[in-house]
Amino acid sequence: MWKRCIKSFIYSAFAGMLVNLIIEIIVRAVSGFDYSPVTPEFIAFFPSASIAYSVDALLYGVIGLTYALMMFIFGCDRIGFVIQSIIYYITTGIVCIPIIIFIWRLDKYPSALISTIIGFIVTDIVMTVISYNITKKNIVSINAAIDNQ
Amino acid sequence: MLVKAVINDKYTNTEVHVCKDTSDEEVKNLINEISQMVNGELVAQAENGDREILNRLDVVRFYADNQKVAADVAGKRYTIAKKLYELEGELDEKIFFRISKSEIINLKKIQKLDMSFTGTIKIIMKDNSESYTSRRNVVKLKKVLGL
Repeated sequence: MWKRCIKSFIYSAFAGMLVNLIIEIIVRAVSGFDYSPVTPEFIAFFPSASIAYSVDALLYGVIGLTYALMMFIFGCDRIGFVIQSIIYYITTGIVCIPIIIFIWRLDKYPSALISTIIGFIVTDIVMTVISYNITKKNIVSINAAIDNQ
Repeated sequence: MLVKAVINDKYTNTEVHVCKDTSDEEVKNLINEISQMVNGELVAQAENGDREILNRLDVVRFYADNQKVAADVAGKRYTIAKKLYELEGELDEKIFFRISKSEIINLKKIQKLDMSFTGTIKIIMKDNSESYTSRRNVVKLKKVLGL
C-alpha cells in the first residue's frame, strides 16, 4: 500500500515534469515562443521560477498520491461501487481541485474554474455510468454461464 | 528423510507408504499432507473441536475469520490450519476463486450474482449464504469462467 503510494507520488511528479518538458520542446520548436509550464501568477508566489517549477512538480506528486491513497475504497466490497466512486471522486476532488486552482490560478478566471469543476464532475459521472453498465452486462453473462452449467 | 519410488509389476495402483518404527507427529502430519495433496482432502477442525477430513469440493467458501481461516461445508463451520494465500495456491483455480482479500469461494456452489442500485455486487451461493465482491473481481471471474 505505502510502496504504491510512494511510487504514485514519484511517478506523478516526474510525469508532470516530463509532460511540461515535452510541451516546452514542442512549443519552442513550432512557434519559437518562450514557454513556461506554470503561470506568471504562480511563479510570483516564489523567490525564483525554478522553485515554482519544483513546487509544481511536487503538487502533481500530491495529486498522484491522493488518487493512489483513495484507491483503498474500491477494496471495500460491502460498499457499492457507485458509493465507492462518489467517495473517491469527492475526496480526490477536495485535494486536487484546490491544487489545480492554485497551480493554474483559476481563482482569477471564474469561467475557467467553473468549466474545470464541471469537467471533473461530468467525467466522473460518465466513468461511473459506463462502469455500472459494463459490470451489469458482466453479471448477466456470468449468471447465464452458471445457469448453463 | 528417505524418499524413494518402488517400481514393481505388483503395484497396479499408485500407493504411498509412510514407514517408521512409531507413529508420531511427523508421521501423522506427513499422512495428512499427502492425503490432502493426493485426494483433494483437507484436515479441518469442527466447532466442537473434532478433527475431520473434508473433501475440498464440498467446501462452499474459505474465509479469514479472527486471524484464522474458516471453511463452510453444508451449513457447518470448520477451522483450517492454513493461511488463505496457502490455500489459494493449493486449490484448483478452475473451481475456487478468490473474490476478496478475505474470501475464496467454490465456483460450483454459486447460485447467482446480483448487483444493487448502488453497485454492491452480491454472490449468492447455493446454500443461500451471501458474499460480496468488487467489479474488478467480476471481470476476473468472467475470465475464469471462460467468457
